[in-house]
This record gives sequence, structure tokens and C-alpha cells, in this order.
Amino acid sequence: MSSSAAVGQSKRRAMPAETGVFVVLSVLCLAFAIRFPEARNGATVSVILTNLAEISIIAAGMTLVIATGGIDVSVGSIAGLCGIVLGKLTVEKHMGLLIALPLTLVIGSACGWVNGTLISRYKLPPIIATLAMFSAARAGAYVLSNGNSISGLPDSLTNFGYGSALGVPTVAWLAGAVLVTMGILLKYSKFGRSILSLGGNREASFLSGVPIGKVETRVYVFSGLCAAIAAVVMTARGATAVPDAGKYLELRAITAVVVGGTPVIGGRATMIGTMLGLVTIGVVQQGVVSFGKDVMWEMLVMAVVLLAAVEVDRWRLRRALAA
Amino acid sequence: MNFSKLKSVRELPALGLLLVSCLWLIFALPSFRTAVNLGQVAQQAGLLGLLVCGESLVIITGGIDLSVGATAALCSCLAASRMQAGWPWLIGIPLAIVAGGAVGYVNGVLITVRKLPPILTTLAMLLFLRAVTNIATASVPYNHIPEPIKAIAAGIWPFVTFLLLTAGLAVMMSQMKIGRRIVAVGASESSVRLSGVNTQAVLRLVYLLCGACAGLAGLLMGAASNSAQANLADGYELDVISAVVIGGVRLSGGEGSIIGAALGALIIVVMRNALFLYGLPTEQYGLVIGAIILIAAFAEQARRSRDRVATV
Amino acid sequence: MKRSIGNIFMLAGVVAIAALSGCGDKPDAGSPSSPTKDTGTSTTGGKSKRIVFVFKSAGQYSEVCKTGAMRANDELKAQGVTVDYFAPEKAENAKQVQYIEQMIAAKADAIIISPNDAQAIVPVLKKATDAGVKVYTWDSDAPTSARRFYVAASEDVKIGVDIAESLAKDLGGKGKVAIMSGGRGAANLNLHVQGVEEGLKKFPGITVIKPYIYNDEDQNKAVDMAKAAFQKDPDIAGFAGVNSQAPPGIGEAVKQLGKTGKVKVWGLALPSATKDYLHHGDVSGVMLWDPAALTYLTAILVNDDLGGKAPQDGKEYPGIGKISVKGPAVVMPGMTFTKDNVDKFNF
Repeated sequence: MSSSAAVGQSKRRAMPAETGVFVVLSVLCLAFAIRFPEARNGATVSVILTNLAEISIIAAGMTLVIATGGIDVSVGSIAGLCGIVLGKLTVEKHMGLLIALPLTLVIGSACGWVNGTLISRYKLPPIIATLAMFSAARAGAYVLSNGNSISGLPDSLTNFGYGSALGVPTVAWLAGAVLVTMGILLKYSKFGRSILSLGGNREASFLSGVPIGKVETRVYVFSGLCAAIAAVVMTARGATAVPDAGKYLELRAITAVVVGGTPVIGGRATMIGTMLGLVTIGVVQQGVVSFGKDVMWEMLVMAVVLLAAVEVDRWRLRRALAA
Repeated sequence: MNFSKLKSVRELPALGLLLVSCLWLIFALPSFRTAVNLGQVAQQAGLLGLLVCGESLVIITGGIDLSVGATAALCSCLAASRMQAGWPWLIGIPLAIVAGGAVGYVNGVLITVRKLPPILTTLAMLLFLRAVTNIATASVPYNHIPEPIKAIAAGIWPFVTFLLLTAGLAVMMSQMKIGRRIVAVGASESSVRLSGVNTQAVLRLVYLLCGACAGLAGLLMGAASNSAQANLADGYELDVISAVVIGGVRLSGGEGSIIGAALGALIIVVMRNALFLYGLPTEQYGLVIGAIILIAAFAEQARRSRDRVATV
Repeated sequence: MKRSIGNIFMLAGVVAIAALSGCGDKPDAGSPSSPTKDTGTSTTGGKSKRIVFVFKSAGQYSEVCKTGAMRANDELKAQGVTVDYFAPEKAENAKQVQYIEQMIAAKADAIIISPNDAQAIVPVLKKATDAGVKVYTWDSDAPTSARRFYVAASEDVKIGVDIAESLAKDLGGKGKVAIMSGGRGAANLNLHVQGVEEGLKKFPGITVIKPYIYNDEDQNKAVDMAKAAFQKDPDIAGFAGVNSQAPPGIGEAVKQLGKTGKVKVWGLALPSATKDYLHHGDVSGVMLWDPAALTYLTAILVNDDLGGKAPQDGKEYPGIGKISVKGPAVVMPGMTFTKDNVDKFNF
């Protein structure tokens, strides 16, 4: 962390934190656009954005979590649980969406609150607390649903999953709104500054009067809330609540955040980087499909992208230090 | 005096939990205490335990290795494919171990030389290895594993291997200089480095050992079910890390023992077996395992606050 | 200096993004259809067609299906038709939805899917149909979807019934039977299980053990769970395994526990993966169709349908046999493999 202070001093001359992901994404986009001229159209962009909706919403919350130096591996399971809750409430309890949706969001936030309390008050390492939630929430989804999918969701919900406004899918609008909100929160609110100072130096921020317990708990609540919103999107897009839903979302969200240039040790974060990281994942996914390659190649390319983005970031930091 | 000394034994909660649950099961569940079932529990515990031993070394240094399951799959497929191609089985074992060690060493180099965070490095390695193994094998399992390898993967033998490895590593940790250095690196890397120890070499060795354990575990896992395939040990990294934590190893490093982690592996396998025998649908296992992880974490928490009181 | 490098990167990125998104206004007409890569051909010419399979998940079964898709691709190439395929790494619905969205954007002509979740896939299939992509199912159906027809290897329930009847005959009509499946959400597997249950009901001497066992399509897990199942209920007399990992996994467990001959195992699996167990006597028999032939047949039927020719009941295809058309389902005849005939097949 000694380097970050130096970066701060020469901020005016340093390249932005998003440089790494920007370079990698640019290279990928160029390669993709040259190789597949027929894919250079709005439809491709729209598909990429639609397919990113759930990961984007989860990655928005994850950026806050990683900014505190923590990690939340339970988001995929929470999303699975919330999807089932939404299905149960609307289909079996015949509740209107106006009641069912807020309840679903409350459940997600509550899971996040449990994570946050375990971490901030009981001082469990984030990976352990969220690992336990990872198991428990998934099991909860199975127990509630008896392992069965729930279909027959209200039409208004499924229409939302496939609707679009101004030529952009509704779910992409929603994902963008969540990302921007969280980004503004992180950068311009007192809460956001507390998150960064907590992630940078816990003791110092405690001594300077930041209520670190409260801030940390709230970060995980936001992450749980994001998982619930993602669950709504996922359920609407699938028109079915599936207890298995959301598996591996945490892995992809973490990858997006880290590729975007937010360091896993916390203290620094960039929501714009996360957005670029997400688009990188989307471009890789679409590229692999366009090449007619197996999904395994997607994992392979993502592994390389992950390391490449971190390497470019290191190079940027070194230059900044030398300056 | 004696009592307080006993209280500071880190493995005690895990040992207690294991003994109590085993005793309970032996009396309450007739199908648990059959020799065949206990043999199966031992076999599975042995296979999981090999992964856990390596992972616990990494976690004691304050790192984490998410790639152990993927390493196991790669080594299993690599060795099985070579042996199927006619290489003698005697080469298969060192091949798997060396390949695993090489993967671990690459992790170690990325972490120490390129200074990448362990969680990120091994996450990338996990993605990379799973992809490579799937592509290289076309996801087709190898079903012709030589009989001698199957023999050492069958019955009680994985458990014996696991016990020997645990004993060996435990001796290394308590009696040898390198063991003390591993713990010290986890407790405070900078102070160890300032005292003149090449901490980077220590870390590389630890990741290498972890990879080698995963390689051996992978070979035996594939042989135990006579099917070396690319999705072998999929999702095991979570089980492995849970076992290490249940065994009382501090996730931030510097505290914990191999024996504790080994007990953690036993607890997980015994619990799984018991839940199955009680006829609980598999989807509910997560609740129980999650609860055990939490209990272990709280025990660790209590211990830490007591330590703090003691030092004040 | 540093600034300028940063600016160059920014510029490069802007150019790249513009290349990706902005160039939409001078689209397909100008660009020659890329001839280099078979999968890259678009539908601009009007003649070339793209048929895409979406598998349940990557794995041995899918590998065999791929050979059928490739065979169809080779045969149909002359007509300007390309056949390709995608397989998610895990049997999950979300990934299949994503592939279909991507194929809609890529303007494929036909999508043939084996859905992991028969319900959840429905809306995206409708979206594809609305976008002018013809949709079919094969291997596993989505009955409520907009698919044009479903190509099945035997009927899903029927094959379960067949397994149950062979197993019951093997058991002499009495004993405890355990059932192993792959995952809870897969429609065809659930129908197989339902078929097994129905078939066994005819034999009052047979009881079915609950809960069912799920191996998550993981063969190592199948072995472990089968072994544990014999500890839970030591008097299991028969085992039915309805996904392709189950019979070899159960067979391995039977072999390791020395129960060969004492326990009868029937199920659904690739003959190549079960061959050793059939010969050793751990598994009595498995039923299956040739997945490659099924996939090949599906591609041919779909190509005909794109050309306006619907499948015909009773039509014979070389090496496959007579197909039967029952409503939306096109059924290919299945096969039973025992130790007597298994060596004649190589899939």
C-alpha cells in the first residue's frame, strides 16, 4: 500500500486506474470487430448488454465490497434464494408484484445484513462469513422450492424481462442505473469515502471517527440488495424461478471488478473500471460464440484477460511511481 | 495450569466435534458403524484430506489456493492419459505429483515475483486449468487406469497415505526450520524478511507443495472411481477451505496446524456420510455444513479475543 | 509523454468501440460474406443457412452428439448449410438462454436445443421465433415452447418404463430398488424417473427407495453416492440409473463392493462407458439410442423443415431405421445393450 500514497501525490500525471482494462478491452474489441465484420451492429451490442444485466447488478455491489478489502462469494446463492422467494410469493401466495418485489429485496438485504453483521460485529473473515451464506442460501432455495422450478410468473414480470425502451433492453437500463447509482454513491457520498478509507486503513479510519462497523455492515447489505435485484432480472428473463439460478455469478462478478482495476486489497475502487470489466466479459463471451468455440475457451480467455489487466495495472503504477 | 494449557490446543474444538459426532453416530446409526461404511468414509476422507493438507500450508502463510480442484483434475487426466498410452504405472504417480507441483510453482512465482494477490492468481489458474483440461480431453473420461494405481486408491489406502502425509507435514512444521518459517511468514511477512529469510522462496515452496498434494489427490480420486475426467473435484475448493477453517487454521495466516486441518477434512466427510445415511435430501447438506463453518469461525473468534486478553 | 501514451490508448479504444458499434449503418450488404470460416457465414446471400445445436452441457454424451452434428455439417455443406453447436460447461439454464440470445443476434436460421430447464427456456425461445429463427428441441423437450417439433430417442417416459421392466424381470419381480438421476431440473431425466416409477408400480413386490439420488452429472460423485446408498440400505436388490454417468458409476460401486451378480443394474448410458461393467456383470444392461445418429437425424429433419418438408411418419433413414411422428414428437427407435451386443458399437 506504500505505492498508493505516491500515486495520490502524482495524481495529475498518472494514468487513470481504468487503463489496464481499457487497453485489454480495446484490443479485444478491435480483434473482434476486424474478425467478424458482420457482428458490427447494434444487435450485437444489445445482446452483449442484455446478457450482462445480472452480472452487472451484482458487480456493482461487489465493487463496494471489494473496496473495503472484503469479498462476497454468497451473491449467486442469495440471488437463487431471492428468485425462489419471488416465485413463491407471486405464484403460490398470489401476491401482487407491488408487495412481492419489495419483500424479495428485503430478503436479499437481510441475507446481506447477516453477512455484514458476522463480519463487522463478530469479526469473521469475509470469505468465511459469505462462504457459510453461500451454502445456507442455496440450501434455503432448495428447501423452499423442494428442488422444483416455479413457473407461471405474472406476465408483467416476464414482459419486463424482454421489453426494451429507446431500443435498449429494459434490463440493461436497470443494470446501468444500478451501476451509476452505486458509482455515484462510491465517489461522491460520505458513505463512499468511508468505504474507501475503511478499505485503505482500518485503524486510521476508525481513529478518524469513521463508524467502520456500520459502514461495513451496510456495504454487505447493499451487496445482498444487488443480488436480489439481479434475482428479479434473472427470474424475469427466464420466466421461471429456478433453485439453481445464479451459480457462478459471484465468480464472474469478482472477475469483472478485478479486471476493471479495483485492487482486491481494498482502499481504491473504480465503478467505471467495473463497467469496462463487465463489457470485457461480454465481448469475450460473444467472441467465443462467434468463433464457434466451446465455452471452455471463454474461461481460458478470461483467465488470460484477468492476468493481463493486472499486469497493465502494475505497469501503470510503476510509471506513476517513477514520475 | 494443565487445564489452561489444554485450552490453548488449537485442534481441540475440531477433535471434540469429531469425537462427539462419531460416538453419537456409532450408537445412533447402525448403518454408520459397519466396517464397509467406515472404510468408505476413510477412503473419502483420505482423498479430501490430501487436498486439505496442501491447502492448510498455503492458508497458514496467509494465502489461499483456489486452484486445487482444477489442479487435481489436470493431473488426474494427464497421468491417466499417459498410462493409457502405455507408460508404466510407476511413472504415473511421480508424473501427477510433479505436474501438480509445477502448477503450484507457477502460482508461487506469479504471487511472489509478479506480486499478484493469491486469490486472484489462483482464481485465474482455476479458470485456466479447467479450460485446458476440458479442451485437451474433449471432456471424455479415461476409464483404463492401471490396476496397481487403482489398488492404492481403493479401500483404506488413501487414508493411510493421508495419515502419512499429515504426519510428515506435522513433523516438518514443528521440528524443522522451514516449518517455523512458514508460520512466521503467515504471522508477519515483513518482519521475517527483515530478519534475513528469503520469504519469497518459502512462499513458492508452499504453493509447490500444495500443488503436489493436489496432483497426488487427483490421481487417486480418478483411480478410486475409475474415471479420470476434466470435471473431477469440481467445486472442491470450497470443501477444502471449509475443512481448513473448521480445523482451526486462521484464515489470515500465522496460526493453525496440519493436524487440525486434517481433522476438519474428517469432520466434513463424516457429516456428509451421516446426512446421507439419515436420508436427508442432498440439497439440504449446505445448511449443516454452513452451520459447522460458522461454529468453527466463532470458536476461532473466541480464541482470538482470549489471546488478546491474555497478552494484555 | 505519459499523457500522450494515455491519450493514444484512449484513442485506440474509442476507435475500437466505434468499429464495434458505430459501423452498423453500412452493414451486411457491403461486406462480403466471410468465406474463410464455416461458422462465420451469415445469412446475407439468402442461400447459406446456419443450424445451431445448443447442448445441455459439455461432457462425453455431448462429444458423441458433436460427431453427429459434424457429420450433418459435412453432408449439408454442399447445400450451403452449416451445422454447429454450443455446450455450456455446466448444465445450467442461464448459459443456454445466453447462447440463444447470441444466436438471434448472429441471425442463425434454426436453433435446436436440449433444454436444461423445460420451463425457463420458453420465453427466450419465443423471442427467437419472433425474430424469425426457427426453433426445435431434441433429446429433451420443452413442451410449452414455440418449438416446431421435438426429435426424441424413444419417448422419455417410455424409456423409463422399459428400464423398469427389464430391471423388474431381472429381479424376479421383488426387492428394493434405488433410483439415481443427474439433476433435479432436467425435464427428460425427471420423465425417465417418472417412467421408472410407473413401470415398477406394476410389480407389488418391488419398493422404491426415497429420496432419489442425484449425481450432478459427475461420475466420481455417482460412485461415492452409490456406495453410500448400499450402506444406507444394504438390502438394495436393484438400481436404476437414468443419466449417462449413473450406470457406470453404480457399476463401479457394485464392483468395488463385491456385489456383482447380487445387485441388478439397469439404466441409460453410453455403451462405451459401460462396456467393462457389462462384461464383468456389474451392470445387466443399458438402453440408449446412438446420440450421434439422433443428432445427425435431427439436423437432417430440421434442414428439410427449413426447406418446407415436414417429417414423415414411417420414413426410413439408412442406419437409423423408421421414424415415427406422434404429434409434435418425432421418435427415433432406441436400442438395448447387453454384454452380448455391446462390442459391436463404438459410441
